[in-house]
Amino acid sequence: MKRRSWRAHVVGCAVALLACVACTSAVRAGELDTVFEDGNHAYADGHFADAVASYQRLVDQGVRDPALLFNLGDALYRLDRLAEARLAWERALRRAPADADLADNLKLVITRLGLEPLPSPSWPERVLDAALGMTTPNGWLIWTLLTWLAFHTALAASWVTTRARAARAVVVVIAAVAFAVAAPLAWLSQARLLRPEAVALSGALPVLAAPAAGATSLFTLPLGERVRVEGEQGEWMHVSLPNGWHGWVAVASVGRI
Amino acid sequence: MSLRRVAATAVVLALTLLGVTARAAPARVTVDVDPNPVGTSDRLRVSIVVEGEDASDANLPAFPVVDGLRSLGGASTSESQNVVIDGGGFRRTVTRTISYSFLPERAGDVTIPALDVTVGKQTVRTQPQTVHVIAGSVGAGQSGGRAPSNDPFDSLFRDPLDSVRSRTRTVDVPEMSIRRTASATHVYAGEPIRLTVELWVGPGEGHIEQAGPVSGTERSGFWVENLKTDPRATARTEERAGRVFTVFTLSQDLLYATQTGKLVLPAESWRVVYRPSAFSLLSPAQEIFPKSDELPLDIDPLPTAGRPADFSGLVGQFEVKSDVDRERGKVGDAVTWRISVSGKGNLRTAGELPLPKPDAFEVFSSKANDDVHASETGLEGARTTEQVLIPRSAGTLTVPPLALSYFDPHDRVYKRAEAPGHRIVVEGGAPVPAVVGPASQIATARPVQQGTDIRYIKSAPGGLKPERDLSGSTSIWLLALLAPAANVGLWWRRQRTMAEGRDPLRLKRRQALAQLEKTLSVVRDDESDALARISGALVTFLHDRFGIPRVEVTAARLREGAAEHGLPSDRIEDLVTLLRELDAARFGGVSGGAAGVAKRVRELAKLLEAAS
Repeated sequence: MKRRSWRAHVVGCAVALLACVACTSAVRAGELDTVFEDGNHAYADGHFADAVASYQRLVDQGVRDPALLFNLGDALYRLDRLAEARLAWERALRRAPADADLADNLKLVITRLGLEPLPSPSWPERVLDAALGMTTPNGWLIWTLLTWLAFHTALAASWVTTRARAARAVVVVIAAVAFAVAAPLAWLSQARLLRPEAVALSGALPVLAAPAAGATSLFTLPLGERVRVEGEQGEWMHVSLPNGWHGWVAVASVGRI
Repeated sequence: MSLRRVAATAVVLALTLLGVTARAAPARVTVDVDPNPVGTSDRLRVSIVVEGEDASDANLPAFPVVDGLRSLGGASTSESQNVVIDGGGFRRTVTRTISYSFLPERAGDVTIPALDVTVGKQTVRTQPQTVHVIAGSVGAGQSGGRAPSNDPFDSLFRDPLDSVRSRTRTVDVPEMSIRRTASATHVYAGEPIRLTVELWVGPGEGHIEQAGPVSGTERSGFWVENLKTDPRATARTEERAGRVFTVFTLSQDLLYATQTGKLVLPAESWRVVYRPSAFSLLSPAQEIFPKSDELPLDIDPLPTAGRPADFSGLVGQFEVKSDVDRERGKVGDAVTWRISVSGKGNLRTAGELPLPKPDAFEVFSSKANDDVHASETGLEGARTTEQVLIPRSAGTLTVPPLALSYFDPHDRVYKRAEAPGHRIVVEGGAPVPAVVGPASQIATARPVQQGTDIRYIKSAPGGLKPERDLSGSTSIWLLALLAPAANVGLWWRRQRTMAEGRDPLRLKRRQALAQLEKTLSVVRDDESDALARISGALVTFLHDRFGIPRVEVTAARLREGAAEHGLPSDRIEDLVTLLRELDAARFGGVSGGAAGVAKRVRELAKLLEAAS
């Protein structure tokens, strides 16, 4: 009797703790939504600086929702902060690669920045984008985990029972196929999300031969140009362009996507 | 230690001592330019050579901007060490070479100023160098070898034969030039100019490996559309002044002037990598930097005479279309209005197209689709806008007709493209409020004109949540590892069960102690037959574990059976004593009660199990 009571207490405490966590999360999510709505209303009223402040507050709190980044880019664009707008939209595109609105906005800002237009994606790339855009990178990771657990559960079931052998085999095969689809997509999604790229936030940004303020300037980056990040050394970032040119820029003058 | 080893050690020690006592020499810094003279199509390499014991610590200055030289990349550094005999002593010297690459921009003399190089505690000033730049290329006399790279590790992987080849071979580089041609040099603003950049290569045995502009091509004053070209696929031969040239089309651009007047495309340099022989092992690549001439273009403004007030800015030939997806509906039903402008001309450069506002409708978020592509004759395709119209009231409502004014450069007149309007019969229903609430504002937008404005902000239907990168989450990976680990455990257990299934005796023995534990755990003091049950459990255990028959458990049989399993004699005696006590206790009771006896039985069973 005593033992049962002790167990009941433990279960009760756990349920209470979970309820507390759920309530805290719900309250926090509610606060985030309120700030987001404030930003949207500020935007709708034409107060773009206020909208940027609201959106940026959410970004600073670790929110990376594609809609938030999209709206942040919109508000920055309205303020003529084109390079920052591109940065926000590039970040959003990594999380929602099939979003046609994002692609259109990026196309427009690239044109306004006077940069080389991005090449149109080939049909396999479009198919891949559509597949990756079905959920977020975290979503793909969770799908991969679920299919992995389903596969192992089905496999375990086949070892502990001899009933419904055919049904178990079907479940194992389905789970294995689902995992084989989800895992590469999760990997690609993560690889895209973590692709080391940055956007030049200063116009005519000098790219230096060495990570030092007095080093020779090799060429300049136009405002909003997207570059590949090869590495970082203190306050300097080693960047390269698709044509092979590379050099060093100050970390503060670029924004990592 | 052998005599030879002792002698070698002595020599090393002597050399070290001599090295220590050798006097330090001042550092020497020189500047080397190669080649000199240099052509405007050649790469100029400027090397700063620092020699001395502290050369490794040489602090080189940022190379100053030199008028007439364009930097081609970062500095590359190399270092070598030598031990020299100096005044009877040995001295270690380090030679550090820093090389910079430049492209001369014009013919004439260029002076590289004196540079201050800090070596250890001393600062050494170099001599200014004058470089003679000639038009064209100095040809075979230029520094050969493979194309230099900015990669500091490049020298590690460089073919050691390259330097030998460049010293021992001189190669003939054919005449090369960059020619730019425009499809028209006198056009209206908004009219396309096709700019073709060609590389003309004179007779030679080798082939072109790479070609690319030295820096971003200057096209200020123009909207540029790239046309895809494949230099190898488009290569052709041309004869000029009795000589045959191979002509490669390097690039083709469509230019749409955004300014009027006399515009000049400045000269541009291209970097061409040429390999003189098809056998790449025997022929080091040569780098040449041919340069084009300036290209003047005349851009006329569009005529003011006859320009309509609603001129759209489009230049070319166009038509407009207007469609609706339904002609009947109810108040509040959505009607999709599709407007398309198609044709050939400056579809991308023209600004926002003037579209009429359908007053009888509430205009909701619109979508634009830009299906415009560049061809050799100009941009062509269609710009389409879809607007969602919601009728505000019942009746016969009108979607207005479209009219688009544009300039036709071929006929040199302004023209007008038109599309008829549409009548929508709207039946009664809930009236649509003219003023919408804050939530609806997010979905409502002013009409977006084809590709000229951004898409309206979005809502987050599922709510916002702080994002954590799950790929770095330990719990995710633990969970992922837990599943196969559990499966390995299950598999191992299954294998064991299968093995025991094939050997029932082994299974029975393994289960004997578990069965005893199970029986003893439920024995209680107040049970009348507790001792009998304990006794029975012990006998069953002895039977299952050691094969002693249940019916005849005597001291002799116990000793005999236990000896067969190699049990120690003191344990056997404990067992006999315990059984006797249990037997006697049935009638006279036992100290410690049934629970105490059960505990003793449990301990003894474990000792027997461990001893067997």
